[in-house]
Amino acid sequence: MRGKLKFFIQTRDPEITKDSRLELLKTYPHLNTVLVSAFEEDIVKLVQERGSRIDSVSKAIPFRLAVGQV
Amino acid sequence: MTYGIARRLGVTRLWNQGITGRGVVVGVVGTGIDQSHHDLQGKIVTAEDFSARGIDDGIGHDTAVASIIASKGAKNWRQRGIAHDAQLAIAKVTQDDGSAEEDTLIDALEWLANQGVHIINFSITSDCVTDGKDPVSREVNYLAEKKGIGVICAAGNYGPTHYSIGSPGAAEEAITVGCVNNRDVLRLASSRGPTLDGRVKPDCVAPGERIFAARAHGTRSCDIHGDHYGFFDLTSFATPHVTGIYALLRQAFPKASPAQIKRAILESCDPAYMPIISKIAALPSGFLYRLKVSLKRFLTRKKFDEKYSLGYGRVNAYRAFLRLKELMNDGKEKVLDSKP
Repeated sequence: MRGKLKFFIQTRDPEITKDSRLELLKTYPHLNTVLVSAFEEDIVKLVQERGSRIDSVSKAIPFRLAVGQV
Repeated sequence: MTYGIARRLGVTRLWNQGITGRGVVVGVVGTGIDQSHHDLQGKIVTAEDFSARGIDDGIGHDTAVASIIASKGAKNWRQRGIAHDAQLAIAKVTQDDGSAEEDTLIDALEWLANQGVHIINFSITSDCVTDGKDPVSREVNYLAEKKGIGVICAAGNYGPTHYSIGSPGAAEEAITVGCVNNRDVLRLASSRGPTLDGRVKPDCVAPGERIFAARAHGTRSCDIHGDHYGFFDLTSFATPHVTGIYALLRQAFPKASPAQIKRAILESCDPAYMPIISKIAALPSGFLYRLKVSLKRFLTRKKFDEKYSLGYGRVNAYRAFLRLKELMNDGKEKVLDSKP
């Protein structure tokens, strides 16, 4: 089984963050967003169950320096 | 930063009027800073490490960025930054390999906002194409709209394909910067729009070829020039030119909103050009009887290429100053024309 990943969930429903499958890491109230740690399958299930209350879900991605040479 | 680029961008005309960035605090999100560099000493009002690696710049990326913005040219006045009297606030977010976590970036942006910065330079991108609704882009929009902080973002170096603008360059309120060479021709690697939801990005372009800037002690991520300097390339180092120009305009018009300054910068751009290789690539391998159709396709393609690669064109500080002066006197807030 793959390990837990970080996801941003944009929602106005505070109940979502209390879901036992999610480990709440950070909250960004001004963005209506929380950062959670969870298994990808659990996030899919969560969206299937409560999708209407979730504005968006995105996997936390790494950013890189805008450098290079052409 | 060299005097030649400052003159080409119309910056020296603002310097002559005493507009040098005084009183403006510029936030830099990136790889940290070499605080001992003679061009940056006394420039840094605050610095915070979000990477748990220490504030020192082990990569050399944002020491160069900071010097393009605010270098005081301690040993050579011709190497001053665009806004050489501005102050700097540094947020280090990257690990040793140059990567940064998304939540760390949001924390860094929030921290910079709380330090009272007026502008933030963001030369870090993701390679995931976005519609500008991802968390970092939304944070950028929030800072511009609610806190009055201008955020200048690198377009990224994932060109020449279209739809290669990632986060936070895709943020609607950001000024997203592509890069041109010293003849104002787009560099192939400069990321191109549109965004995933079809908006025009990058907004403008700035010089990003062999930019002379401060080199952090012990770093070798550039074409080294002497003990303390190097030549740097691409959109990371085009972006701070626009950040510096924004700082000059912010000093000249402290009451101008980020939207007004953005509008002035974009509406006053000089022409920039597509590289010839793109023009050749866009040409059909032709049959004469298809000439009419092919020409039509070529012209359509050219317009698409230019619109979503160059944005409004290459920035010009002096013309932006005049445009902002008009806007401030005008007092009318108009919606920015969506077509470059």
